[in-house]
Amino acid sequence: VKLAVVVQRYGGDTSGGAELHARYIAERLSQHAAVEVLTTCARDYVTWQNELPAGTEEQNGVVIRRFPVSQPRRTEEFGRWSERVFHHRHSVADELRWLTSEGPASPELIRHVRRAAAGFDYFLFFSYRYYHAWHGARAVPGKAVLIPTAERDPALGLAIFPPVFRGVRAVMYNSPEEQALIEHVSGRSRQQPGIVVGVGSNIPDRTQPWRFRRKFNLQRPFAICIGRIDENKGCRELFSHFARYASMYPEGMDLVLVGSAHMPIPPHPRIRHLGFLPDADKFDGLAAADLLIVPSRYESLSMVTLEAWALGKPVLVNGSCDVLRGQIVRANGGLYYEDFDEFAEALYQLESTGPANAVLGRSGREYFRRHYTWPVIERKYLDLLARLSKVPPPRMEPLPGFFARRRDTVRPAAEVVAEAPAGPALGAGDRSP
Amino acid sequence: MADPSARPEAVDVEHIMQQIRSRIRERRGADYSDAEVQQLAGAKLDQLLDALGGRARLFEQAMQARTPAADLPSYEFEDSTIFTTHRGFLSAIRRLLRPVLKLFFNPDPLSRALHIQSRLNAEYQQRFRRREEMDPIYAELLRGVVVELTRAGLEVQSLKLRLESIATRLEFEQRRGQTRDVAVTSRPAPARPAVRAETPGEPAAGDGRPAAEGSIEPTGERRRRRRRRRRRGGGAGAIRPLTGSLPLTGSESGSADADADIGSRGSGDAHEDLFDEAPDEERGADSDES
Repeated sequence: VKLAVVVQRYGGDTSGGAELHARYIAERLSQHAAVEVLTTCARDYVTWQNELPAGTEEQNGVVIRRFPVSQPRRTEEFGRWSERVFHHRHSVADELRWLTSEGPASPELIRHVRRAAAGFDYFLFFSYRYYHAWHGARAVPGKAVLIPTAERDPALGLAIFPPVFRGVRAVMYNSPEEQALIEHVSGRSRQQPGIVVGVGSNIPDRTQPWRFRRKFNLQRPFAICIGRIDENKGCRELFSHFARYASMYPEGMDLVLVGSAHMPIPPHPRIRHLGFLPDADKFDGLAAADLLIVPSRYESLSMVTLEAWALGKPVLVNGSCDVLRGQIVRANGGLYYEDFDEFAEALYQLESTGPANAVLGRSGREYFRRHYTWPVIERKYLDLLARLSKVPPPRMEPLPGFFARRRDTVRPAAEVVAEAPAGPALGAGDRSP
Repeated sequence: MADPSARPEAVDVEHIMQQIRSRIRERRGADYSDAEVQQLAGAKLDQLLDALGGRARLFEQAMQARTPAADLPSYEFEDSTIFTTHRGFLSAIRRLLRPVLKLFFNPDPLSRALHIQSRLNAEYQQRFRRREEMDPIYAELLRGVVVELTRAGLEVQSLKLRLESIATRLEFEQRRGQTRDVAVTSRPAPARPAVRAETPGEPAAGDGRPAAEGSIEPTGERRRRRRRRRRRGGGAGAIRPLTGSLPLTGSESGSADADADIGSRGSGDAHEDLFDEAPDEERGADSDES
């Protein structure tokens, strides 16, 4: 089998959930198939500037082919188009302009996909909302497998995406909630090939929590929050909740933040920011922590949650995020909160009842072992790809005609997404004992 | 496919979350979701606006983010403004005839007044624009204040209820304490019969037994009997001797009801010994003995 992984950015130092997901999948599948990565020369997901050289290179046994981005993103233009297509009645042509302004617009990459189609059995397109995935999937629909990494954001309500969701060979979802959401907005049938897979993680065999505590001089028990410290990730709410919690329980645990800060962190004696850390430190930190906190409202999977479970740590998540709440309930691997009262009670519960805390952690580990270890993930991919050869490819619907495309008949995308049912899809997956 | 080999330590997150929510509800007294609070606040705000009558719509207008009104044309008005023209020769003629014009009336105060008016227009326009920008903010603030006030009102209501409940319990505990004090003080002192026994041959009052017997019995047998009686279960049985010795007033009988109430709430642990039922074997042994 020969596979192409098509992703917006790729490289050892690229941060970002979908990009890391793509890298893990490419490297793991390369043990079973010939894998080539097709990507852009961009490194920054905001500007899409061409920073890496175009051409071919090899990383960890995977061939990477980079193509230049034709134009960097113009933030103002993108903002203007986003406002129009998300909140106003608009046309399909507007959505296509939005897609191009979002980027990374690399027609050369799409031309290569079309040219090299015969040489690959399947193309795995990551991140449905970007230029490469939409144009790429339409270029080779019969061989396109989509890994949408979709969240509940207005982009999912755009009219250009449902035909792609319906027209690709298969969709690999990250969670049952993502599957339910995509099926609702796109009308993709459950009979069409698709599976909830997610992604594994490279968990070290051994961690050294004491080393982490000594290195960063942490003596008190602490909760850890790992990832970009950003308002969009719910960090402002977390800081406010934690400051109130700290005043309620002066002897309670500390909060340790790991990740680059994109917003000011309030000075607080019980909040420590350690900055961006290498993987070894990150895993040691997770092992040293009593629990992980994930404050984000928008997640399509949250790999760090899986990593915490792999190390037997319970997780406290923002219950407003359907995916996280669903994962927590399915795994019985932590608690969730929707307001300060729940945050305080749940954190206190996890902090004060050690045995219950440990049971939640063990339950999470069991869930991880059953669903997210690499052999399980690899098997799911290989089984699905094997099944695809027996299923006839669906037809990709063409775009509306020249005039129809320009009529303002499309509803605001935010409205479409708002109508989609919310809440965890608990009937869809099994639950941990 | 749930694992059939569920371990005894299995947990259910939803169950824990229910417990957490019930604890929060208990603490709050009443559970009002944010939406409910908003709804209550909306009703309160409507009530306030109804009192304003027709002016209520002004608030709604202020709430809506409006596009600011276009700037009015402003102009500078100086002494020479009324004589200016783009035609050069006309301007020269006006300048020449200006002294003649001044023979008929003085245009200077008119120019000054218009100059001041022009400046006033500009200033008021600026103020009006600021006001226009602030209106939605004030309206939003007002709405926020009403919401917070409603929330605070609900909290006060819930705290009042809690306070009432605590006060009732406190009152009950105080009465109970008093009742027990009286019971202890009104009990016959064990030493007294012994003192009486010092007079030999004097019969004990009522039972016809010699005083010497009575003087020995209370210290041993009677005390044992009393203990047995106390141990012999049944709240009523245990209480009876006390009620027999102390006539209950209306309020005290009420406190007995409150006692049962508190017992059912599980906060009467301190008095459990009074209401405890003795085990059956012990009761059997007692009855055999008696």
